[in-house]
Amino acid sequence: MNGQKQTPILEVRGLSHVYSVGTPFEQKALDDVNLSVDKGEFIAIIGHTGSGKSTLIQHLNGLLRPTTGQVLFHGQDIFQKTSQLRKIRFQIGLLFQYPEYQLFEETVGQDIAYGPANMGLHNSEITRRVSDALDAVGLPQSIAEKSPFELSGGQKRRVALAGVLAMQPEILVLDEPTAGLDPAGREEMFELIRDLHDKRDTTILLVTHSMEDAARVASRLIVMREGQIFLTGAPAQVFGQAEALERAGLTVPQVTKILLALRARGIPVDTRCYTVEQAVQKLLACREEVLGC
Amino acid sequence: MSEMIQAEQLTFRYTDFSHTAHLALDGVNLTIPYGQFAAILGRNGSGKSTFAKHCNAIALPSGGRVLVDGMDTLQPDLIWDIRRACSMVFQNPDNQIVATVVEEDVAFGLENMGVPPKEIRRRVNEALHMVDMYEYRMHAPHLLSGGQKQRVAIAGVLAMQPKCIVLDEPTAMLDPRGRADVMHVLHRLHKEKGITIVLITHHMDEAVQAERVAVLDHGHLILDGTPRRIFVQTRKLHSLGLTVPQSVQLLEALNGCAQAGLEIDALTVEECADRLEVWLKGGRA
Repeated sequence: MNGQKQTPILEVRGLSHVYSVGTPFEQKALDDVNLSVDKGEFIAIIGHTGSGKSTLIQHLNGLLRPTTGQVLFHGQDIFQKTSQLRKIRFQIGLLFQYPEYQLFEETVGQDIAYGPANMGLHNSEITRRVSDALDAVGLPQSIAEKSPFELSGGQKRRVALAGVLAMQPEILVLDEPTAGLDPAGREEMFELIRDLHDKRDTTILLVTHSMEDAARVASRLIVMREGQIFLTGAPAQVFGQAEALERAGLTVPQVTKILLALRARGIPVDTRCYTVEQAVQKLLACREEVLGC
Repeated sequence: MSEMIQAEQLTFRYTDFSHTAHLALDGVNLTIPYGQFAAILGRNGSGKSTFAKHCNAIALPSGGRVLVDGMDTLQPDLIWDIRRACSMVFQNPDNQIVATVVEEDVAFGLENMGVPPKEIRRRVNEALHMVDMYEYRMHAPHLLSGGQKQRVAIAGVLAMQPKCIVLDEPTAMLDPRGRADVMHVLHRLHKEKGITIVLITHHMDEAVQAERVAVLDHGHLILDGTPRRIFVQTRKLHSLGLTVPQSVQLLEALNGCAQAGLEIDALTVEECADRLEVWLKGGRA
């Protein structure tokens, strides 16, 4: 038990995954990925389609088996004992893309209860967790009696998230949770996820295409490219390498592009920024310098 | 002289599970002339998808009417002519692919229309070239990326030679590169073929590329104009659940905190950089 505090909650060691081995479609989706996640971190995994990010997260709760390498949860190899895998899936919650299509029960309450029921919890505990999960995603308790068909798309997505939260996972992995939502819906979803992180101390791994969104919510970014981790670091560090990001097929925020365009014109502006507020500061500083006042 | 799409007092009523009546569209007057590239914006539930469905008679008006290429969508015998004139592409590429080979998928509509095989071959090839998917013609669609699938779906409607293509959030499920490829194809169809494009989107950066932006909210047409006129209305758009490009936000913020006096209607990176360059060097933009 010594030094347990130092053990990362999740660790990926030398992970490689090859699809369709021995067929003409053989494809190396992950190539020696190493990653360590501390408890309470909020990480965004960014990458172009085919960069391996979905393959990576499917390993994190044992949906895919590594071709080589290991996934460690609290220092334990999750594939060591197959009988343990089921338990680990309760602790590492995975919310897929467009999860609203996966609701299947007659009522919202039953759908959220599905996970906890499978964990073998008592009815009273299940009821408590369903109610708690509805609170956590900002839905009224009365919605539990409704059919998922009666809900809007945004509500259904929250119900799907509640279904994962009801298992009270230590780690929450979210695959594109804001895809297809309008700007206000995106903002709400991010607020909700931030709350889960801040108030419940859930470790979050968020997969997204959007650099802007990633930078706003996460404290660490992992950029994937061709099955490998291409860049990693705090948002400001990662955005300092805008050209490299664009080469990886990712778009940097428009404000970053504007500052880069100014720099390309020979204006000495600091381009390490990704929000409008930061850009304002950089531009004010730059004007002082240029005008010497 | 008819218009491509002409919605007059368009109203669409539906009842939900609790038998409450809702108006998804409430007296919308919106005319899209031939050859225009129009973007329709609005938050979820604003009525924009419902409007799209009225453009090729998937949904029919509860009140008012819609004329497509001069044809009233309420006339059942015109429905196939309407759908030939105005085709639709949906959000989820997986829901629109029917065949197991790309070129067969593109040919599907033509086969149903009874087009002669030689002509089918010609049109399928042309459509695949237009969307830059010709080299994938023998591939299995389910192994393509989202952006590629969406371009195959566009080729499928293109082969039917429509005058107008309505796209309901065609890029919502795509990554940045896939989105850029689809947008490139849409501009190409608009410029080279003169096809009217009606793009329903949540992405403001796509809307700024259109010739015209219409904003719906609660079933009403709230704003209608060029992107330059629409996207400077930051507060109004925010109240409608929408955002403006960061270029506009940046210039507005500088005006707010440094009295920079900048014109805020810069929609592109270069436009914005032009104005900032002048200001940084001490001038007034």
